[in-house]
Amino acid sequence: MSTTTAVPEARILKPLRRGAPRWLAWAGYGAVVLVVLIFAVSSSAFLTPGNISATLNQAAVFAVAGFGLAVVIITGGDDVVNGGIDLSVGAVAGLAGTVAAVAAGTGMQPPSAIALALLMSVAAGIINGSAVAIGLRPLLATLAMMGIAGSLNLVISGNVKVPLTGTTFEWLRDGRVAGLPVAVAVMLLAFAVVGLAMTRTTWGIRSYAVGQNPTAARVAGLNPVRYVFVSYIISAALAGVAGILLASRLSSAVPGLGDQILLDIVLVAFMSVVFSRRLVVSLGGTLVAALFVAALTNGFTLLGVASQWVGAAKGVLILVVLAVVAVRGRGTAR
Amino acid sequence: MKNSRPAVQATPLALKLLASSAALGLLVTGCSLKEPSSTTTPAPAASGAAAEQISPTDIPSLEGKTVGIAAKDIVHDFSRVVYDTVQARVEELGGEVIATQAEAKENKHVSDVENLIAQEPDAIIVILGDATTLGPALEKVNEAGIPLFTIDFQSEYSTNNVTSDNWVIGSTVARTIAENIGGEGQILVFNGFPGVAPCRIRYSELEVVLEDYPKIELIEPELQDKYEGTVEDAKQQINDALRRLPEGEIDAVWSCWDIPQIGAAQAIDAAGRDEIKVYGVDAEPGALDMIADPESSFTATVAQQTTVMGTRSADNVALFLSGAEDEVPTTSYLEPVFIDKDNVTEVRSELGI
Repeated sequence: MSTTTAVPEARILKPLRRGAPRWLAWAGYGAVVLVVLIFAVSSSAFLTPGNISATLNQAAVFAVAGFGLAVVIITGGDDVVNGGIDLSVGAVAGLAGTVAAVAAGTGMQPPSAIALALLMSVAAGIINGSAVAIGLRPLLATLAMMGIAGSLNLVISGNVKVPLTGTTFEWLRDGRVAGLPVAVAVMLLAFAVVGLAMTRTTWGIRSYAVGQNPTAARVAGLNPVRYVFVSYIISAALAGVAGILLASRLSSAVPGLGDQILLDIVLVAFMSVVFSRRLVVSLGGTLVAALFVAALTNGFTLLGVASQWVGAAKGVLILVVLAVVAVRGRGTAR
Repeated sequence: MKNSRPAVQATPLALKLLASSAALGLLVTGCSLKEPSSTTTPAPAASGAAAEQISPTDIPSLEGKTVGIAAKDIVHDFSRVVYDTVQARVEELGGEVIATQAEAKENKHVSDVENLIAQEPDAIIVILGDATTLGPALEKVNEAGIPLFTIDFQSEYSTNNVTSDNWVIGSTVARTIAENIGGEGQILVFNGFPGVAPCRIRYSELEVVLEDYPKIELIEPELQDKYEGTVEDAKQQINDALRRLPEGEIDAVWSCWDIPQIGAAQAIDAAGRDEIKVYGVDAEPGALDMIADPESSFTATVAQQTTVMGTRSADNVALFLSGAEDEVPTTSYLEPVFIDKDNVTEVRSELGI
């Protein structure tokens, strides 16, 4: 594997543009620009710095966890049944928040509490990765982990909210880095690190290769299992980061939180398809999707539209994504 | 029956969605969703009931005022009715409503409040919530100079909280159980929300009352009810408990709300274990139907005056914004109404539930 060169990878990457018409690749961005314009014209509050900052802040948790899920889907392939998926992201995020809160509550220093929470998340990722590596279907393996993490969360928290206080966590909630809320800074940092890793490193390019066509990747000398294994660890670690950000935002770890956030994380990761030039799941697309979903919720409120409509809007978005994927799939010789 | 809401939402969603985003900021859309549901809830009764304390004519107009509403959920009847009536009353008083509901998601509830602040309404009403998770967001409401009102949610930042007297509810239910089962026996409890204030209060009142009934025990381990999928889950849990605990080992089932008890009573009725009595709170329509059925194990519940809660909160906003701050108490307590098999029909027609 160490002897592989970039040539076969480039060949694997080449036919990525599938059967979709070229304009479709820009339709997603077009929709975002249109919606933002509508909101900006209709509400003077929409583009105020305070509101933009609040919206970015609301997107951060879903974006960070979404990046991890995107890596899993990229590496495992986006086939709905057999492809890469990590259903445990929500539960692991919830567990990380609870572990941090309980640890901090027992007097542990915040950095140690956060480290412990992240270790716990990585452990979940290792189990997920191992299960998938030995051949379990990701959908089922991570569903099992979702149950385990969710139930551990209840045990550790005693099914009560665990307050998360102290200057460190208050800083995570209300602090600013270079004028941006801390959660937004973390989101951008995670995007930069994971985004660069996926597109500019050998490892990242190979992960794409493994996800697009594992057989070809194997023929080219890659070991797909290795990349898939790592992807679940990245996903769980980022879910842990998201969980700590969310617990800080809520000033407490909330039992059952995992179920509340899972769908939105899955939504932004899959929605990234419409924000990618090649119409595949991508990190950049995930970021745009998370911002778009947050802006929708925010903008609808500013317009005075009852927030039930946001659920409808998300439903329409999912349909659009599925339609795009279907159109893309047409003409693809699989 | 009463749940016309999902049906209303389902059909014209996509179309209306497009229309609403195109129809730059027409507040009409905010109203269009509510019309069907307010017809199913007794809005007229609500304004009539508000007359108990202050006659409607005394309530100043909300003309030109905007009131933001952040409800935690519209999952069960209590929150749905409060959500609808408070909106109906604000509009009746001439005000504009920006309504949000968080689908029972803590994170969305915080976001909703933040988004409302950006809109700079004249007042914000928060329906249900948690002091810990919402605290920082409510502090921002205060910092923005927007008066905050709450319903069934005690917060240090709230100008006025409209709530039932949960201590009375808790002790009344507890006393009733203790007396009904003859002062001795075992009670199975659902205690899934020890962190939610009304539930915490009602549970501690149960403990206080039982101090004087040493022959009554709470069965360990306590059951954990869930916030969503509650009925089915509770039914399953009670079925398991019935298998584990034979006749004579359970005398009553307690919960701080009706929803799990609907499932519990279904399971008990189906198993024919008529020695067990079920008690809840909230007067959910499903629970009332069962209480009205003489064969059912569902024995009693407590009605909160949900429609009055909504109108009272809107009235308090109007009074406060008109300068009559003295007339707005820190907490507006509403009398709970105890409902059992004897008075269920009567109370239902009285309260319109």
